[in-house]
Amino acid sequence: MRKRVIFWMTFIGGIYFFLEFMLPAEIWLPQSLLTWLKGDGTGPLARNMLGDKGFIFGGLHEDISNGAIITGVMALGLGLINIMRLHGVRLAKLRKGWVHSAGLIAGMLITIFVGFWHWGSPESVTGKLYGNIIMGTRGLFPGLSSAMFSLLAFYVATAAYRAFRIKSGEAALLMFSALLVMLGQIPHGVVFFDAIFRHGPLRDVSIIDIRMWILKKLNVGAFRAISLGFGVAGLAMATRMWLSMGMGSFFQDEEGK
Amino acid sequence: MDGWLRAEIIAGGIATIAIYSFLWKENPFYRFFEHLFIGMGVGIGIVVTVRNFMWPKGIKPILCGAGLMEPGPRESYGAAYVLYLIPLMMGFLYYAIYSKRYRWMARIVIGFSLGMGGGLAFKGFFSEYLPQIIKSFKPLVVWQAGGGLDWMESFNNVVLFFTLTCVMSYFFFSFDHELPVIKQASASGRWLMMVSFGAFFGATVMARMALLVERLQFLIEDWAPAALPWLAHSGGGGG
Amino acid sequence: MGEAREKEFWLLRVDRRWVYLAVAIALAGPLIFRWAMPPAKIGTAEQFFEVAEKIEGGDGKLVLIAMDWGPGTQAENKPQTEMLIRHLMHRRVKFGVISCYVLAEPFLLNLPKNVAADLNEQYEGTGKTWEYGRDWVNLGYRPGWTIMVQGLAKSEDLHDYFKTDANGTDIGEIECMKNVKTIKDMPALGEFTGLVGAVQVWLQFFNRQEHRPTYLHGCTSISIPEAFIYLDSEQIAALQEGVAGAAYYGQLMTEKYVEKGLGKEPEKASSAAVAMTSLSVAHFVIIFFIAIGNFGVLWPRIRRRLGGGTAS
Repeated sequence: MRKRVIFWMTFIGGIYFFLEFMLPAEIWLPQSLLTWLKGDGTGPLARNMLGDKGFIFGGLHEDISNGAIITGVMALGLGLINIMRLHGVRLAKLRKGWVHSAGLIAGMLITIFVGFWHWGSPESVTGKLYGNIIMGTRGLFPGLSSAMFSLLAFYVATAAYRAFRIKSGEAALLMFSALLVMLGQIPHGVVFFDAIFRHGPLRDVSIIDIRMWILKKLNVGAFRAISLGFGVAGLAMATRMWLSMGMGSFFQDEEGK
Repeated sequence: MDGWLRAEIIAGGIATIAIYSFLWKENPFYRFFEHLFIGMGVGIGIVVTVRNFMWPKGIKPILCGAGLMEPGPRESYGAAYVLYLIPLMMGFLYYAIYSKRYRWMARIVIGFSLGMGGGLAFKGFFSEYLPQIIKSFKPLVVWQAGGGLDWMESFNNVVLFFTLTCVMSYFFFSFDHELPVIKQASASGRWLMMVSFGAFFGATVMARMALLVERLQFLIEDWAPAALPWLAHSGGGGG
Repeated sequence: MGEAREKEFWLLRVDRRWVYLAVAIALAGPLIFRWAMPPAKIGTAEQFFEVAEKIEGGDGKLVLIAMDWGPGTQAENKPQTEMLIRHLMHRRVKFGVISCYVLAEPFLLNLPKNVAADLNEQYEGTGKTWEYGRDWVNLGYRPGWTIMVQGLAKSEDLHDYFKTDANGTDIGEIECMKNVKTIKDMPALGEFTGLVGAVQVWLQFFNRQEHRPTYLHGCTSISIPEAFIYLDSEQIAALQEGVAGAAYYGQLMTEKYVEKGLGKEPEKASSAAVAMTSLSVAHFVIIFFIAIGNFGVLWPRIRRRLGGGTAS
């Protein structure tokens, strides 16, 4: 019984969007039937679902979309609950790392408080706290986020130093291609290339053009092939999920019931 | 400089330095700000989602439709908006995951979301990939307007076609690669993919370094003059 | 297992913190000394500029700018978005900013405001002004990704779809939105993102059978190879390639709109050039590290072959 409920809800979730894509914008109906269904033209059916030629399948698309988004957005609370279960317990029992958990929970609660309190009054103290200190483009949160991502630059440098070894012909080709692309996108690269090849047969060729050729021809061919491959695989997986194929364990709980 | 702006920049700079302290070694200063980042991220997600969507498009229409609240001056919500309670109640099923007895009900709404994704995938696939496939059929022999052969364009199209087919043949796992043509094409595809991966690496270097340059630029041009006024350049902080 | 492991060549034993310091110093140098070189000529940026020059403006038309980026990728996406906003403002083409990414909120609010303030300062006394509501609208963060974008494209009344702007003002009261009712009134979409899958969402769903807005895309450098497949298939009309594309686009903007006496030279142009020079140095730092890493592996082998004994 449970399996069937889950299967049908999964199917219903996808059938509207599938039909909305497959069916024409207006599904033809006989004029007499159309007139009868429209009635005086003021009902919700007449206003949203019936056009000049027939039935508009996507007439309530906006409301269905809103409903779908509302369902998805309700999952936000799961993250909040999980955080409180992990860090709240750590803080309450003063376990190792409780100071950091306190910082996490304080940051979260302060952000929520000032975020809702200042609603509609950006010039107030809470508004400034939220709009400048927390969410200002040069403030705390953007600063933390940018800094976290920028650490990758250092790791790229150490990876280049420690891990990038040209041990085969393929690796050599990869590095050579990378070198051409890198030099072609920076001003120093253009100067460097021109200085070396100023007098040779490549004097009329620009590193920028070489980079563009690699990206537009070789890269497009290769990446398009890869992209088509995972596009088809993605569609196959999506179809399997929609039709609940091969999803045996999804219908069972931990005890296998 | 406005006091709030100065405080904003100083806070951003301290946060940046805290994260960079990790490069020396893991330390409590870094760890505290890392936790703060996570907490603020969750808070911002909740605030922005409720304020920008959940309230104006979800809860307010329900309350107005049920007559519990007056709509705004140019708004009108019919009684039918109470039907938004259905997706709202469905969303509550997510929380059944915390109950051992009713845990299976969470799978209803998870399955529903997965089904939606599956249904949307059809339009997505054809919208995205059909033009890709169509545009892959380029003429291998291109003639110029004046009548002569356009060697460069023809060569380019041949290269693109050859690369595409060789790389695709590398991923044909459904049949044997023992046929010499398929074997050679697959081997060529492997080499041609290296060129693409090299381009990816070159682009990745630019992307990662740009992130660091932006932060350094902030620290040098904005934070240093704000936090250390005697270092202020003429004309104040930069972009 | 009993033999002592041959000691690594000294060049391979440098502590990672020295590598970090070298990177930081190499990048900070041009920033501190304001060393600026003109950016590399990026052909796609030129194409982007030309397409943006031809976007149809006027009453009842609104360009949609999707700022699906946050603080993590602001280094690349922010200058790209800023350049397009600046371009549209110069051309008096009305636009709306929107995002499906929750962390874009402060940028949705501040970026157009800052560009407008900059232009108002530059053109002070000429009678030219830029103001919110007349020249642009902030449609705010809209969750739902695919479903939201598809709903936006199919909507027959965008006033009813959006209801309010990000500040809570009724959409019908905003001047630039007055005669904008459906996607057919949106001649172009500018999608700027560093998120995986975002460009595909807009590509797949922001269209109708009878109308497909001109698609302008700005991506982070890491997505450039992927974006080219859409440029080749003409699903994207123009592409800004990361920060290098934005830098060259900025130069084109300066040549067209500033140097011809239409305003003062913006100070930000020099900041972009300095950043580009710093990036340029960064690339050579990476090439240097790859070279010494491989040299450190090769040199002992060469020495052994030449009879130089074991590595030091």
